[in-house]
Amino acid sequence: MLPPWDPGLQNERTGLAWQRTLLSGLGISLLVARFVASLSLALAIAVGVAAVLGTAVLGWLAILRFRATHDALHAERPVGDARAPLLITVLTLMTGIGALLYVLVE
Amino acid sequence: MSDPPTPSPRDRRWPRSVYGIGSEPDPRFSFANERTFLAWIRTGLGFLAAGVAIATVASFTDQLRLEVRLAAILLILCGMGCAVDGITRWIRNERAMRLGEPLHSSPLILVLTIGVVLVALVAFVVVSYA
Repeated sequence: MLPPWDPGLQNERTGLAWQRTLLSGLGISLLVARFVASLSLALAIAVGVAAVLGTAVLGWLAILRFRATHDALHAERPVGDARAPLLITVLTLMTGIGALLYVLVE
Repeated sequence: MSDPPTPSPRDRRWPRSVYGIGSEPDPRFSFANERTFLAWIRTGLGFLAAGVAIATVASFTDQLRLEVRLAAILLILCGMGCAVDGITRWIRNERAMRLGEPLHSSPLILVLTIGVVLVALVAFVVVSYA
């Protein structure tokens, strides 16, 4: 693998930001799953499994994105894309809707 | 200084409303913009966690009271606002950088501050009259 593109390790730091964001998402999702368990155990398990699998898939996508960006930087091709940010935004909003339902039903 | 907006036909980056205009900025600025977006997402997730947590903790001992429920809803709405504003801000800033314009500001910080103050007032009332 080629060395880091710049001494500021911009791509590496951005990759780590994706990792900690996904971990935050996993944390809140499991928290919601734990609280939902008081309403329905089956629903809680479904939320928990979806959270773990979803985080695994997104983590893999984040690694692929990091590598693609790394290659693009070294090849002096333009970088960036908003599909992954849009996906994260939609998932956060879906978590928010789930949280709202929980608070309204509780 | 600025190249004409002639995107390569092989440029499949999305959305075209961002990548189809202006000239390529220094990638380091785009990375910083993306990390700021991710920081807003984490802030939003924190708000969501806080909203769910206070509703749950309050329901341990008692029926969920109206003011606590409203505070929880307010926190969750703040969290969802962070997510929406995060990506909107990312798009506007990326466009501004490509066009060489100043970066935009957002009223969200004021809204969040008001939201947190309202929730703190509810917490103060609940704790004082518990």
